[in-house]
Amino acid sequence: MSTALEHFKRGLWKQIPPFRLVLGLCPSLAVTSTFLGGIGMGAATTFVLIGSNVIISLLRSLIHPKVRIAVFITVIATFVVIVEMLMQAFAYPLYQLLGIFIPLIVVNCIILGRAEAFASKNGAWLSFLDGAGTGLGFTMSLGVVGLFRELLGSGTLAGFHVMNAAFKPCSLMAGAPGAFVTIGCFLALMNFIDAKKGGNDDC
Amino acid sequence: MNDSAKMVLIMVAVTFFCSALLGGVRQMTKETIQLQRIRYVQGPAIRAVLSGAENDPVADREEMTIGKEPVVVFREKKGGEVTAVALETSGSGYGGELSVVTGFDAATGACTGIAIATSKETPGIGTRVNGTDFTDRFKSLPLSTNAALKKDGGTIDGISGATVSSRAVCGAVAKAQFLYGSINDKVQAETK
Repeated sequence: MSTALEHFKRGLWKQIPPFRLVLGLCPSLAVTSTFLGGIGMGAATTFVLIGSNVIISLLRSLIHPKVRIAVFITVIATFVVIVEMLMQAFAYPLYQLLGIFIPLIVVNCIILGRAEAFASKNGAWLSFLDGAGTGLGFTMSLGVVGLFRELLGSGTLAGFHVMNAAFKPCSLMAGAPGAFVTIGCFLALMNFIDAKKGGNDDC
Repeated sequence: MNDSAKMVLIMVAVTFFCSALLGGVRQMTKETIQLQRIRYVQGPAIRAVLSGAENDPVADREEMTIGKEPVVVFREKKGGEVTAVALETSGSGYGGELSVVTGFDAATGACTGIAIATSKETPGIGTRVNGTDFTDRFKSLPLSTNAALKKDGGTIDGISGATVSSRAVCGAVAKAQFLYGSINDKVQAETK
């Protein structure tokens, strides 16, 4: 059980995307100008990650190595379209907010990366934990990045005004460069913490 | 079984199951998605046009065919009576299709107001037609007067610099007037 838990926890700090695993930067840049956008994108990605990880690990003995990428992409694309339809049906405002970046989850390297590196070699339960952990880590990261960018870029928090009237929104933070700056600062902070703790041999 | 046959078989099986799954989800969510789209995309425009509604015009919508065109009709009710009707039509703007919701007074057939539902016009130029400045010019336009720009021999002042967009709105409203003209009698019968 301790190893199973390890697979879940790995995505939350040691390999947290997009900080540690510097993959999936496109959605991180595009939708984190607001907190809700980041959380929504993270949730959608988590759904796709869990679904594709479980299905691919169940099929792993059947998938011929030569066609594995094609099969992986088919499975991932199926889950992405499902999440798009569900979001349109039950969370239309979120769908309007994320727009084109929902179908673009297909090309998020994190998902194909986990399918290739983990789900194609491990059982369904472990793959589920891996997907849930990575997805949760991604959601947390996007949420935190979105929180900072929304706070500094537009002075609101989940749509509510929280800064006082003298605060001038910093448009740099609302644009894509702000995402790079925020992600870079977090990466530096995490490296600093790890260095204090005495090195991280996983990276 | 040889290798390549196996490869093909597993690909076919996977794509088959994926398509079946997608088809199932699509069937289950189709109607909800359509409703959500009307509520969130056309909804604000419909509410702007049917501002006095005591009912939910989106829930009380009716799909009908006028001539050969499928039209969705939204009714505004006050005290259980139909007071106004709105239709969505589209015109061809500068950046593509521009869709307009036009409201008609159920008793007189005059325009109660219009609102732009979706448009791809140039921000800052063509999008000026979205403002109430422009849309208010259509208010109380009688059903007998086709919406057209002054420079096209009509009664509506276009926005200078955004003629194509203004003309697209007029075209859409004129189309709505034409469609409403053929159901006017039916709607008037409902008001009594």
